[in-house]
Amino acid sequence: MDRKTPELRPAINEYFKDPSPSSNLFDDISSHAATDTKREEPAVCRIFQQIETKKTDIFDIIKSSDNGHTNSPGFEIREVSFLNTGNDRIDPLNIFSHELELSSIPTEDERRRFAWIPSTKTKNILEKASQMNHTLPRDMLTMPGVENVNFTNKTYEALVSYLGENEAAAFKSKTTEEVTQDERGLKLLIEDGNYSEALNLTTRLLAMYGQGPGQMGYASKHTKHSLQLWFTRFSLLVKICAWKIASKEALAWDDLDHPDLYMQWYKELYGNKYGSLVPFGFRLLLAELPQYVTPSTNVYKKLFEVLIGVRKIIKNLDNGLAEDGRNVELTVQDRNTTKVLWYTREARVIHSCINCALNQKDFKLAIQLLKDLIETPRLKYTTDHSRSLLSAMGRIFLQVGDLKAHGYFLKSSRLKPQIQETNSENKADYRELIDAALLAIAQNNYKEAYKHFENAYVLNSNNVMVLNNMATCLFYEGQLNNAISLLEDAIQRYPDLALNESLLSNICCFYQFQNSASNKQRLLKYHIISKYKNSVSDLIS
Amino acid sequence: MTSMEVKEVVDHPIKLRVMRLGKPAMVNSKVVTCDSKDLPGNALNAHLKKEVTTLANAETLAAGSFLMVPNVLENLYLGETFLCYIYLKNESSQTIHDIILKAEIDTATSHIPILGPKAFPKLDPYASIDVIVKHEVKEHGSVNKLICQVEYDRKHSFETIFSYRVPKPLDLKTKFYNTVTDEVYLEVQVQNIMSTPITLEKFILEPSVGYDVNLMNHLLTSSENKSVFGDFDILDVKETRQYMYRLSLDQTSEKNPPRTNNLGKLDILWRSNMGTKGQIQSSPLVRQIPELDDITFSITYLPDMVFCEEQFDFTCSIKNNRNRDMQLVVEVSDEEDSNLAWTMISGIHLRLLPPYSTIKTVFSMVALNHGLQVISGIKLKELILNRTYTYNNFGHVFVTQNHS
Repeated sequence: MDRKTPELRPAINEYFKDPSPSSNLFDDISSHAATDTKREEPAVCRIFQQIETKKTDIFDIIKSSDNGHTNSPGFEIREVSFLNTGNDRIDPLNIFSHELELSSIPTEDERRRFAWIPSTKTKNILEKASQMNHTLPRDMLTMPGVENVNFTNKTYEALVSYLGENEAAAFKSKTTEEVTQDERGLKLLIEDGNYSEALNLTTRLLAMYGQGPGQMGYASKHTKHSLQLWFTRFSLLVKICAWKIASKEALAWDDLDHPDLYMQWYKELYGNKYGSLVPFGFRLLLAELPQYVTPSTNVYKKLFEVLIGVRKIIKNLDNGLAEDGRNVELTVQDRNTTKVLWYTREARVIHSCINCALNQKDFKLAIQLLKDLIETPRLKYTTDHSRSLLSAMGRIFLQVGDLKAHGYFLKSSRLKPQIQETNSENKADYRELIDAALLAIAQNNYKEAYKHFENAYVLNSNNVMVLNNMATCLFYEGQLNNAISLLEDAIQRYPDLALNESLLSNICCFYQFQNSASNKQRLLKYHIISKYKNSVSDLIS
Repeated sequence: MTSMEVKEVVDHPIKLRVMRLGKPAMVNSKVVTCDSKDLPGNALNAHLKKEVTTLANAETLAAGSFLMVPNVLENLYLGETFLCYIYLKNESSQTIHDIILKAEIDTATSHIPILGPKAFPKLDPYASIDVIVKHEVKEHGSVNKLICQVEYDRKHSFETIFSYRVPKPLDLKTKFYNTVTDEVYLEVQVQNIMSTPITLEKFILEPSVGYDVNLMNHLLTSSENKSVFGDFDILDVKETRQYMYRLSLDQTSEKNPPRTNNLGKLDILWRSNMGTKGQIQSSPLVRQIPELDDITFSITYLPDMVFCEEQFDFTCSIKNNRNRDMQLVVEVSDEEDSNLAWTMISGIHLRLLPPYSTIKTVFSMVALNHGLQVISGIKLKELILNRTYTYNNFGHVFVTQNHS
């Protein structure tokens, strides 16, 4: 097999002649629009974390200041710059027209993160809770228990039998027994990517709360910590796609609204604190479950309920109340911080709704939701985030075969930061190249798509996605052998990133088609390693 | 690929494989995130951010660009393009000479050669011949086959058959409404009967010569031709759209264009996942021509509102639909209980009406009462064949009080 590596640039160019990098991918329809819009300095803030003031974090979608304690006039919330619409809408500017400080006092932080509005029925019970003697009818109790499943890592054994004890040792990671039997150990296992062992540890830890195997349906006590354990457990179940187990265990949680899930219920433990014990991420995760489990039920119902809950909180904040509607005085910083937190949570829930719609092939809904997110943002997005949203929109259009996608890619590329280089033509950047390549594929032009991906690879060489997509293009152009060498190369150079299910699915498809004995051996090895890496257990569902 | 079918009888040193290619799909991993103060900390967020399938700067949106060759293929529908990878590999350690590769599509009614015969002088050990073949699917049914034939060393040969089904993509239903003025209203229902949502990129009625089309699928209130279907051209699975057209005889072409019952045909282009394109043309839309009366009698001018006790005029056109002259007498008579009365002479002789020609006549009436009134009581007597045609209840006027 002639192996051509992406490192040898000219060699790769030989796959398709005419490697000239195109500079203007999208017709520059209105160039003045690009110059009119102000280029914003990307600043940082976080989505779906509580607002912390110390550092930048991932998932930066909104602008903020690095230091919340300084008065930062840079944090203005207003229309994103690519918009010319919606003049009669509520201008996001008004929300934060004053200078903003982010607040990081721990008690405030806790109130903000765990705020939730109970249903009327639950609220009544909670209000009477002080007089009542802490008894609830059975149907108002939350009585969870883990399924009796041991998550095993058969793949490591397979690796041993394939590679031998010595070589396999390199892939051996910590087991439940090797870490401390507590939160710290759990974190270690997760960071290690050893999800099945982490799940086994949650089983043990939850058993201590009387919520272990076979204990579903028996009354037990809830604390913030037990809820965090459950949240962790569900996150991992979703990660390894153990839908059946997840949906069984989810039954006990109902709508996460029983009185015993509120801090008010435990006066002796939480004093006069208000809020839910349930981490917001847990609420969202449970709302996302139905789409993977039962196709008959309404997959959006729970998601929209969460969205309604978040919007009620936002409304309360806008009306000068606390998150849950109590008439409590909040400092300006506190109120601003909590607004930012709940706006980002709102965006996160909408993202989940969009993902669910895409999963259902409900493209109209996905497009509508994303359109709202783009056109009426609550928060000022960074340029990068704005561009990503537009690219996402284009990709959704492509999935349903609508070449109007082009328009969104074009909008995205107009937001590109202008580089002040005189006399040099405006070269397409990484995102433009990827978008252009996807569009070319929609038009059956795999040669051109390959070219774009290749140029993107030059700009950002540490990118397995691009290599994989180049290989895919080669395959559709009838170059099976080259496609395989490209993928094998990617695996060799970036084993950590490249050994994932999607890439292996591609190379597996190619190997099967090529059907040679050596391939099978190699494939087995890849599979074992990747499986072990992701701790995907054979046993599940 | 699930739909690979290889039939081999003898153990040949060269192996042929075929794979139908569907569009690559963009895959995404499951989005699981948490607050950094939650128990898993930033570990899960970091895993997500590192994933090769995510969209940078919007990681929580499942809109990455990682392409995957589909494991399960969508159906191939009529009007789409059959795309197939043909892979011929020498699996022996000997060079093989004089290879001839040929491929054809075999349907219920036809054989369509799509490749070759293509000759290759030799194939080195473990080398391959890779060909991508394309074919536009123009026939639906369950018996479609791709037949690949290979000959080598001038004596051996074998063939591989790849069968596939071609279901119908769209369900089209049409209805015609003929009017007396020889216009036709056409109602087209199009339903997506594919297994995926599609984008209807083009849906056009191409009229036959002699017909003008008036599209009736735009909102009247909007200035910029806004579609009644909204901003999206997406047609979900099982969703139906109803288009409406008004076809009239093209007045400019000839005086009397031949009355054809073929109104035209529909030209439809759609795209589905990642731009998979399909295009079909409907068979001619044929209407049942209504049997024409000897005479077409229709109102060409009538005021919609008149004043009580004042005279008003209206105009009618009378068309001779027969290949003979007509000598017509117009008679009007007041109906009992009618609130309109004729104010004109009954028994006017019209001029001789040659074959297929039209004459216009003015009628006068006076309204006797308020409200919506019905016009009735016209008789045309044809003197040559001595026939009488009666027209009742053929128009309405609204009568009001004149306050001035």
